[in-house]
This record gives sequence, structure tokens and C-alpha cells, in this order.
Amino acid sequence: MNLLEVSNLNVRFQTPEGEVAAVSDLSFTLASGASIGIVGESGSGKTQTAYALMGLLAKNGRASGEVRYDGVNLLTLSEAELNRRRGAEIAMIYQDPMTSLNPYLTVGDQLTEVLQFHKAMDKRAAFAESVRMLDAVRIADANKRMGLYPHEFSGGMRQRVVIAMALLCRPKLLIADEPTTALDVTVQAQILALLQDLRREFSTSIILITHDLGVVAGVCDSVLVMYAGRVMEYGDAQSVFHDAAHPYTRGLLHALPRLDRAHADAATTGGTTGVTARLNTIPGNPPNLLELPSGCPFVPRCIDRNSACLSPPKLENFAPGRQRACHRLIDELTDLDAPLGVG
Amino acid sequence: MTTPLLDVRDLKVQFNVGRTGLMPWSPPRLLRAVDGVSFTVNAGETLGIVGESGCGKSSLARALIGLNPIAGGDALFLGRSLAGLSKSQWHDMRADMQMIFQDPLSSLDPRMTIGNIIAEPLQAQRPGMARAEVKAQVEQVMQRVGLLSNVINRYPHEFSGGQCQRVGIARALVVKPKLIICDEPVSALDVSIQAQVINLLMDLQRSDGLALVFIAHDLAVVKHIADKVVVMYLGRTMETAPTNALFDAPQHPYTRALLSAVPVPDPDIERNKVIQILDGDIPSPINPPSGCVFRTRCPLADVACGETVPTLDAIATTHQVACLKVGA
Amino acid sequence: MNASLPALPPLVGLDDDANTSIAGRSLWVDARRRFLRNRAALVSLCVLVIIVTVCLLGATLSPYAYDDPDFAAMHNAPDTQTQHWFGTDNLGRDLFVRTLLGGRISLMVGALGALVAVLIGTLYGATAGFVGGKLDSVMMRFLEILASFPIMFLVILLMTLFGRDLWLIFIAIGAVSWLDMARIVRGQTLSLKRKEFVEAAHVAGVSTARIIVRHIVPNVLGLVAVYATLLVPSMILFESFLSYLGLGVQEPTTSWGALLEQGAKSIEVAMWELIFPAGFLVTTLFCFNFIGDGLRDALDPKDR
Repeated sequence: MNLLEVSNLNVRFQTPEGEVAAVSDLSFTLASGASIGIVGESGSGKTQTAYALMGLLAKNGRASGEVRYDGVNLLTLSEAELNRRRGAEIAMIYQDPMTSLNPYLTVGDQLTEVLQFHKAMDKRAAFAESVRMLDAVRIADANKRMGLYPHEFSGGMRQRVVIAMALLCRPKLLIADEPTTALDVTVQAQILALLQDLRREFSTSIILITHDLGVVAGVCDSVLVMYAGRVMEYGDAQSVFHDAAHPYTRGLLHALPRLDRAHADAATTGGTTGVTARLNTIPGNPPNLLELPSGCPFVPRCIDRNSACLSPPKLENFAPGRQRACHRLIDELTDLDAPLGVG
Repeated sequence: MTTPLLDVRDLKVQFNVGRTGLMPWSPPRLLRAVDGVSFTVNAGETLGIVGESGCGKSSLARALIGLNPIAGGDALFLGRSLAGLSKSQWHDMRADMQMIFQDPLSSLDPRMTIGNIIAEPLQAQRPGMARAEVKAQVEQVMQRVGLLSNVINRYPHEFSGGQCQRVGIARALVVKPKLIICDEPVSALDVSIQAQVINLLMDLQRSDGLALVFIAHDLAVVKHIADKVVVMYLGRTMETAPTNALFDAPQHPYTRALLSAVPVPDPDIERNKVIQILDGDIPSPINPPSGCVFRTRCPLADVACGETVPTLDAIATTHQVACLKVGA
Repeated sequence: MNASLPALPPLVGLDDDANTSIAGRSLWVDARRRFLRNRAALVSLCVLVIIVTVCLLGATLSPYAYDDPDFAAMHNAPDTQTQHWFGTDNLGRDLFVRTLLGGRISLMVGALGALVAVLIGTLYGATAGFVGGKLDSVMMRFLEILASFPIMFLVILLMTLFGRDLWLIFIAIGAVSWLDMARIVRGQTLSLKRKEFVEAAHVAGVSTARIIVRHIVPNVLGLVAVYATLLVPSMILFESFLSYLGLGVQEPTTSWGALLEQGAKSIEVAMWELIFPAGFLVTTLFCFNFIGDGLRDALDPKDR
């Protein structure tokens, strides 16, 4: 049984410069206890997707389509019904932990308040449960730290407090919007390990929104790659990372400098002579949502484009559990793993 | 061996943050942002400086370019000391040393055109240069960084982050410096754009024989671009080595933890690897731990680490580690 | 094309980047476009232009002078026949001419206050902010002393000592108007000083004076314009307040504030003596405030 079924989600914004399609025809499903990574660069619509799911779009934004959560379409719910689910069943973590923490209240007050509001717990039970949750996110001396204010915690600790707060009501779905982007790698590793443990422990489904493919590789079962508001490729993490079927996904994966690959100069001396060790790049600039081409949005930057790409591609199944939106056959795409021709 | 282009010796950068007492005459409280770092950079070489936020890498970069005062030690650039330079001496120095900033947009004056922004160092360094000559040089450098010359009259807000960073690189290049300090030049950019900028920097470096001091928190980027690497923690050097040696055989427990924490875009590797999780957070540089500054989070630390400050010892000719537990 | 990028297969039907426009849109052009789209601000600007024009030129339309008493026509109601379009005051002087004259004085006071604020305040604030350190401390303490001075008391003292004089009002207004401006500009300069583009200019080897002229001043100008626009009405109000207390301009010269004072006295017998000057004053104040708000929105769209 799927916990979340998103079908044909569209998010439009009315701006003085015209209507902006932030998300177009987004569909995916998320099973109970599973995790999906939504990957994209700036302007890809990944964050607006999260806001649309939570019903938190800005005033000039409108979401259409269907977001079935436990069989109920969230987009048609009243604000009050939505509020009941937000926080209790669906929780969100933001990039900046201070977005969800009030600087003028102690961490303890903020945590217990959530339980008192959503679970109608009395103060003492709420306090005990909050301490237990802070323990669960590995904050030492949880009991003592309940009385501290958010600014007395470091960045990584604050993000842990926010995660504890999000998990207090044992939500079935956790939406994490770039939860580790502002953190150092060693702290990021702590937080990601924590998310994995908590997912196992509470069987929470996770939507992880990030630009970092490495983070997705470690945490997510399936991956959704977005560009200019559209899904480019969707599939299980193994296939997307090892056998990407869209020129954008391929380009993105090869644009990353990687720790598990040899150093540039080593490649120069050890590999084919004359080949400069360089990263594969995706040419051009990020999409301007106000001036998208009529066909495939990626066409201005695609190395595999041809005239067919001037009409919009459909997102289609091409293998069990895998989808992509591209006119070209997979065999026709440039193989970026092949050694570059000597120039 | 020839003399290095940049020779940094036991460099210290300190900031006053309030006073230790309540009285105005109480001694100032010192934040030791950089506490005795040494390295050399040769012409045409790239030195990567890595570390987490608060490790002092940015303070170090800013001290090398004269934006922070040097509190102790010295840095020799082209054989001349950078400590205690006067304003006009710094002015001359900057013909050979430039900087690329982290935030592409905020490092460009929003009210100036791209052409004027790129021309600014040229006009400051060579005040007598004819206008036509300035324009010709600006157009030439724009072409080199991949900007079309018809955008010369446009304003920064009309460009994407990647294009703005190209403008920043053009501004640094226009005076033909020998050394460019890059303070996290790609960390604000999208992945696809980041690769373009890294390639551009490496191309320019090779064709011009530029030296780069490349500050970054992204270890994969540093591994790709740098020839040798300095790993900093709380203002001190933990380990320094040629890139391959450092990434293939890291010695310091901090370097190891740092490397294991970097996510790799491969589910097979990522799910099976053992991450060395560091407990706790980076201590305050106002009140650093005694002995080895890393000992509060170090899995190998014992009593001795709290008593002795480890020196940076060579374990191979070019590989140095500051740890009591390594090579002992 | 940049050599570091892979070549894209050519594709007919896709715009080529090389054909894009060459001229850039500066922030000022952007701001003007946004301002012109703001209807309230635009209407206010038109109304204000009309008021200023009428105040400057309107008096020539009337056969009366501002200081011609007509004891046969005291407190006369507005009447087109006698060409007293706004009626007359307690001495039978034509109110139309006097309102326009008052407008000239009031607008002059407002403009002068804003001018002093822009010149002294901007310079003072930018210097204190950019140089910083001890000089900043000294300059700010001096400013605080001025700001905490009981200015009303000073004006009354000056009036009693030297008699009522327009120049004294100008001095009083000049003394208070630039204080806030200096503070605002200093704050803005402090934040600009830490901006990366100013550091980039330092690194480029640009001299301090040139940094102030090329980077700091253009970037505080927008804020200065907004604040100066909003300062005009508050200076006009300040003068009106002085005049209302009887400390303002000397008869037979007048200002909107002085006219209001007289109008309020005779409100029961001659409503028009209050309504016309008040109408002009209030409309002008509204206009300046709308324009100031419009400028702020246009210059800093993020702050809305």
C-alpha cells in the first residue's frame, strides 16, 4: 500500500512578469517506510514540490493535480484538516533549522508544545517524551538541554533538535528540504546516519530534497531527477546512478568531481596521453522559467538533442519501475564513460 | 629548488572579540582564527586548503590578500614580506595577486556594468592606460572566461550565478596576476555550473602558469583541482601532503574522518562504507582545547594528547602530520 | 564560445544567444519601471507637480497682493465675482494668494530641510561609517548630543532673543533634519563596507576615496532619495507646528502652518480660512508620503 501517490501535480505562480510553471505534471509514489530523493538544481522546482505537498505555497502560487496521502487528496483539504495532519502525520525539516525554531522559547517548551497540541498530552508526559526524542537524535544530556534556547546549540545540534521536533508525533511522512546543505560534512554524516536509523526505528517514509547526488545515493531507495519543473528521470537509486537513461542525469553524474575517482593529474599521466583530465560539463546556464523553450526544457543544454526535441517529450516507462522523458533512444545517447577522443 | 612564489611561515591571524574583564582596560579576548600555519606555493601550482566551517581557512585567505591583518609569523610573496605592508605597498602587490570570492553575485557591484567591473583592477593598477586599450583588454579577458563581448554593458543581476562567477574570474585575471586566492569559488554554484567553472580555472591555470590557493570545504573538488592539500582544524594544520598521497593514504584521524564523511554518488559504495562519525562539534576558537585541538573529538585521543601540542612532523618528504599517535 | 564546453549539435528553431540585446538594464532603469507601474505614486507625483506649479505661478492670476488688507471685505466667503476665489481672512486679505504664498514658504522649508539632510547627513554618515574606529565614535556621540538637545526650547530662546525671522526657522530645521539621515547612511555604509564587492575593490587596489565615490555613494543613493522624500513632509509639519505655536514666519509673510493657526481661530465664522490651507497641506503631505513609499518599493523590491 502506498502512503503517498502524487499524480500530475502542477504548481503555477502568478508574477508581474507572467505565469511561471514551477512544477509540471509531477507524478510519483512512495511506499510506507520507503524513501525517495528529489534531485535538481536551482529552478528545478524541487522545493516548490515540497511546499505544494505541505500546502505551504506562497500566496501567488496554485497547485493542481492530486496528492493522495493515505487515500485522501491533500490539495482539496481545508486549512483546518490540513493543519491536523501537518506536524502530526506529515512533518517537514528545512535547510535552515532556525526556520522552525522560535529564538525566544526554550527548546523544551517548543518540543512539549507540539505534543500538547497534537497529542493532547499533559505537561509531564510531554516533557518525558521530548527528552526521550532528544536522546533518540543523540543529544547528550537531553534532560539538561531542554532548558536551553536555540542559539545555545551549534548548527548541527539545532538541526537535530528540529528533527526531534519533526519526529515527536511519529509522523508517517517526513519531508526534508536540503536538511544538511548548511552543515559541514562530518555533521552531515551524523545527520544522515541519524535519518537512516530513525527511518528504520519508526518506519517513517522520507522525501529528501537535495541538490547533492551523494546524499541521495546513501539515503534513498528511489530517485526523481527534476529539471525546470519537470521530471527528467525516475527510478530506483541503483539503476539511476549506475545506468542513467537521460542526458541530463548522465551529465549531472559526470559533472561531479568524485572522491572515488583518481586525481586529475594521475589520470593524465596514467591514462590516455594527451587527454586533459577535466570534468564533463553541461553547457549553458540554468533554465529561466519565464522563457522556457516549447519542447524539452533541457534542449538548450543537451548534447544529444535533435529536431525531435523541439516537441515536448512524455514521461514514459521504459523498464520495470523506471521512467524517463526523452525523445532519443538510450543507445543513441552519448556515452560519457567512454574515453574522450584525443583532440 | 627554486624559491616558492608564496612562502607562508607560522602565520597567525587573530581577532579581538570583547575583553576578558568588565573594565575597558582589561586585556582583549583573542580569537585565534589561524594559529601558526606554514606552507609554500610554487608558480603554476594549486594548493587546496580544506576544513570545516570555523577552521580558519577563510581568515587565512583574507590575510594573504591583505583583508585581514597578519598577527604573527610571516608570508613571503615573490620574496617580499606581506606582514606590515603599507597601503601603497599593498596596492603594488595586488598587480600580482588577486582573489575570487565565494558569492558570485554579491562580489559584483550591482550598480556597475560588467565591463566596468572587470576594468576596475586594470584602472587601479595602470591609471594611465588609454580607454580603448582598457576596453580591448577587458574584451579579451571576457572571451577567455567564456563571456560573449556583447554583454559588456549588462548588469550583474541580469546574469546567472555561473556567469557572475565568470565575471569575478575575469576581474581577477585582467591584471595578469601570478597568484589567485580562490575563497570557495564554486560552493555557491549548481553542480552543472560548478564543473564549468572548475574546468575554466584549470584551463586558465595551465595556459597562464597561474598559482592558485584554493579554499574549499568540498573535498572532492579539492581532490580534482589541487596539487597539494593542507587540512586545517581550529586554526592549525592537521596534515599536509601532495593530493594523491593525502587522499590515498590519509594519516591524521581528522583527515580520515573527513574523507569518510564525504558522500559519493554511488549507492553501492555509499551503503556499504563505514563512516567514521565524529562526535560532538568543533570547539570554540576563543577557548581551544589544550594540547592537540582535535582531541575532544578524536577517536584515538588519550591523556597525552591533552598535554602536548603535536608538531607537524614529516612521515615522508612531502607528507606531514600533526598527531602524537601517527608515526610514533 | 568557450573552449571548455562540449559542442552542442546545431538545432534550427532555437534562439542563438549571440543575438540578445546589448544594452543592459541598470537598477535605476528597473526602479523607474517599477515606480511608473505604481499608480498611487504616479498620481501623487502629478498632483504634487500641479500644486508646486500653482504655488509658484498661480498668484499672478489674482488681482490681489498677499498683504493688501481690505477692511470692507473681512471674513468674506469664496466668491468668483470679487475674484476672492478662496475668500478673505480677518483683515480682508485674499486667501487664494496667501495660501499659495504659504505653500511657497512651506515647500521651501521642506525642500531646504531635505537638502541639508542630504548634503550634511549623507556626508557625515558615510564618513563616520566608512572610516570607522575612533572618528566614528566621536562623530556619533556629537550627533547624539545634538539629537538629545531640546530643540523646541532652543527655537523659543532664539525667537525671543532675535525676534521672529524666516532664517531662524531655516536654521532650526536644518539643525534637526540631518540627524536621522546621518544615522541611516552610516548604518547602510557599515553594511556596504562588509560587502564582497567592496572587498573586491580593495583587492583590486582601488583607493579609499574612489571606493566611496564609485561603490558606496551610488549604493546608498536610493535610500537617501527615499528618506529625503519622506523628510520633506515631516519638515513641513515641523514648520507648521512652529507657526501654529506662533513661533513661525513673521506677518505679513505666511506659511500653511500660520494660515492654519488663523483659520482655526475663526473656524466658527469663516470655515474656508481653515479648509483651503489645510486641504493644500494635507494633499501635499499625502503626495510626498505616497511618492516616498513608491520610491522605496521601486528601489528595493525585496523589502516589500
